[in-house]
Amino acid sequence: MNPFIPLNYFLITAAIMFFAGFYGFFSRKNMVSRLISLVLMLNAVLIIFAAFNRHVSPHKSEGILSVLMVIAVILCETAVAVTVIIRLKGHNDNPDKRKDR
Amino acid sequence: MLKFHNTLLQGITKTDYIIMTGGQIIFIIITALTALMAVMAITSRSVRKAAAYLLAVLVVTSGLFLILKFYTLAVIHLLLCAGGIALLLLKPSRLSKLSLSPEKETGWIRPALSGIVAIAGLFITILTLMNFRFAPISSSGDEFRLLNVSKNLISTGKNGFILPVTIITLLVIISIISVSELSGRTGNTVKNKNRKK
Repeated sequence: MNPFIPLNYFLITAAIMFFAGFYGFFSRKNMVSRLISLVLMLNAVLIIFAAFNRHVSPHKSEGILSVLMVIAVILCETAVAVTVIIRLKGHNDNPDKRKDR
Repeated sequence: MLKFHNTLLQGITKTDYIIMTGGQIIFIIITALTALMAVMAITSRSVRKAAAYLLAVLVVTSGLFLILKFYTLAVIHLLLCAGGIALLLLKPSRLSKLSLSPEKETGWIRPALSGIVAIAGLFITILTLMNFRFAPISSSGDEFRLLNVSKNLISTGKNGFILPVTIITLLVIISIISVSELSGRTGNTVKNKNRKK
């Protein structure tokens, strides 16, 4: 379908993105930075699914369906994580609640 | 079309040319942008800048989907993923609640170890990918259409995805309930404080 760009190049792009996210996830301490790294890694997975679907089995739709599901997972994970981070931040900033612990 | 000299790469003494099409040039630009923005997103100390670089990565990924000729998927990714994450992370009121101050300095062992592991993993992955050739599995069948994707999402047949769709639906419902519960408590405490005043 896309003969001018081999599948391996897409996979290498995804690998660069994945390992950048891997480095960020394990080297940073900030929760938001870790969340961003996690989104980067999941985004690399999206590229892999789409590239495999186009190059290996172009007449099937399993890759597209997987991409749609991973997008749903990314959104849910980001929404819950941002809410939890905001709650934790508010809890830590409140001196009354800190005394209770 | 552009022509690049390839004698050094191939080790051939005679003049040889790689002819690059417009699609290939766009792919190289998108790949370079993706790698650059991903590295900037993880190395940036400010959360606001990191979120902006992440948004750039997500937009550029939609470009990769366009190159793969998944036009609908590119639009869905741009709207849902990039739009949703931009709304969640880049909204100023939320950013003020998230840590805006620069991150505290951490020790050098953890970043160094994770960097070594990441570089080694990337090197091994690229080496493996360059020496492996993927062959197409299926060359016949129904032509790809969005209607087929929609049918597969709710069918229980051979290519049916009803079970994963059900699980994802449950996940979305659980996340909606948990987010509304967590946000609702914050609203109630604010209301109670106002009542006490």
